[in-house]
Amino acid sequence: MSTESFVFEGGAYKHKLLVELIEDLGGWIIQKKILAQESTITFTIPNVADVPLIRVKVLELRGNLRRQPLLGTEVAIVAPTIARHHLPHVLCDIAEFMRRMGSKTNMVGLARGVGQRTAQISTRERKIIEEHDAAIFVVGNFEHCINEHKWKLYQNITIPFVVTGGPELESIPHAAYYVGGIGRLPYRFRLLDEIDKLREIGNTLAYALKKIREQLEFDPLLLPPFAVKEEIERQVSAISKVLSPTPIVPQLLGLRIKLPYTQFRDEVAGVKVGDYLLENIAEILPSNFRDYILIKFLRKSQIQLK
Amino acid sequence: MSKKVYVENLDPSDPYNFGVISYKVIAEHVFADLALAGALQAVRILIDIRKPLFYLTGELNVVQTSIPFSEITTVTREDGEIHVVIDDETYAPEILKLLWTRFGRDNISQTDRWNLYFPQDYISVEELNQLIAVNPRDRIMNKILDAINRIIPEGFRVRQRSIQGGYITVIASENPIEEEWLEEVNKALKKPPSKIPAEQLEKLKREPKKSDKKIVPWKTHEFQESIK
Repeated sequence: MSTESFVFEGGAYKHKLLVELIEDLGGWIIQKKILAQESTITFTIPNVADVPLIRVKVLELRGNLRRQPLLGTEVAIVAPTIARHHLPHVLCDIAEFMRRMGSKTNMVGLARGVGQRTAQISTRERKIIEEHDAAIFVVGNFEHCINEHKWKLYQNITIPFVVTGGPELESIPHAAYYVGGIGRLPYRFRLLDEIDKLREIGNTLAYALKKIREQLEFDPLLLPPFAVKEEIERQVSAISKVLSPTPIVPQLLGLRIKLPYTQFRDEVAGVKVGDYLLENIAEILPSNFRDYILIKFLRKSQIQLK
Repeated sequence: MSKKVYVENLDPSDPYNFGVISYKVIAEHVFADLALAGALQAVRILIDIRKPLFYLTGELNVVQTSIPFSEITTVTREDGEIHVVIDDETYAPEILKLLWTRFGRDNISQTDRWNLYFPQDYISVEELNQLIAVNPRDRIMNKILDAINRIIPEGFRVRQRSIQGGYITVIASENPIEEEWLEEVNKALKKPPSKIPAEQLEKLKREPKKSDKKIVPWKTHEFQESIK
């Protein structure tokens, strides 16, 4: 059983038929926007075998359906620094495209990522990157730098990551996935083959995350993050006062809640999820991002041991 | 513009390394962004990434004329005060900056965008008319230095800059710059700039390529196919 995510775009008329079908299949609606006569529904269904049912329903409603391979993940886009040399063109284009494929993105600029001998990453930066589900490292045009020096930035990263650079290379040291043709570019991605490159990054990332998802099937989480997210929104009233666009960020194996850890830790820990309290099925940690709360869910086997 | 930027690799083993020749595209875009096509004549960039060394030299073509107050303002004496009317507003920031540094910010009253008053004891009308208000050379030089900073790889923090004989030269590296490197650079500079072959430039060219791939709207098309 593995989940599959989609976005539906179509008329608001009779869209409730689709919503009902998703609920019947045990899926989750992540976002529903009704604007005049148009509706946009982002949803996940737990079983791939049910996808044909959804397709038939969408055809019936004369709507559009798009796969969202990265939905429910948080991705870090890492650049050596946030100087003009790296931003805005390459980095912003990659981030925007990952968002279109469904992920939530954060841009991370390292303090001292530039150069050859001087390139380095601090423990705090590494911890911030590892709070995400996956990362994309955007490096430059020189083959020599990529092969000899830049691996210092990502050799100790434990989450799956994709490296993008200028030259077309078969493989690079210390990285499992490399996408060439995207290095230091002084212009925006507009042409079709450039957009294809961005799609290649997204698909590579989705492939890397698929492996984690497959592992998850052997020892799954008690409840999917989306279900817990809904419970927290219902039970912690302070969430409604958070001004961020996504007060709770769903991740593959956890959640990031944008509330101060010191103030709200106990309230979040006491959230009732089914027969359990949240603190019994998850670790509640302070995030390295500001004072946010980071929730890491325990696997089923870990809960049994508890 | 495109013919004016010459990029060469100092490492003879791989003269058309992708990283090196891509600096032609980067430099051209930066000069175009900052509208510097006229100010820099021929730019030569020499790179050796193994040392690492980045060398940039360009012939300056900067107008030398400076603009006195009389050309862009009307100065009169009124009731014991000097009254300056700014005729050309594009130079207003420079005029204000100059007067503030000379006579003090508190002494100059500005009633609106164009009118300035200050006591007549500081300077006579004739002297003020002859004073140089704006030096366009400074403006364009700032732009050129900004452009060069944008082109040089960010990690190369050891820099030497010189403006001599109408040429601007910047040497940048991550390590202390050695004498031998400069000798090597000078030897390369004596040769005429080599052109990048057309097939190598083809890699850098950015134009829509013809493909046989049919673009199908992502919508329900493929699903309809699968249902049949």
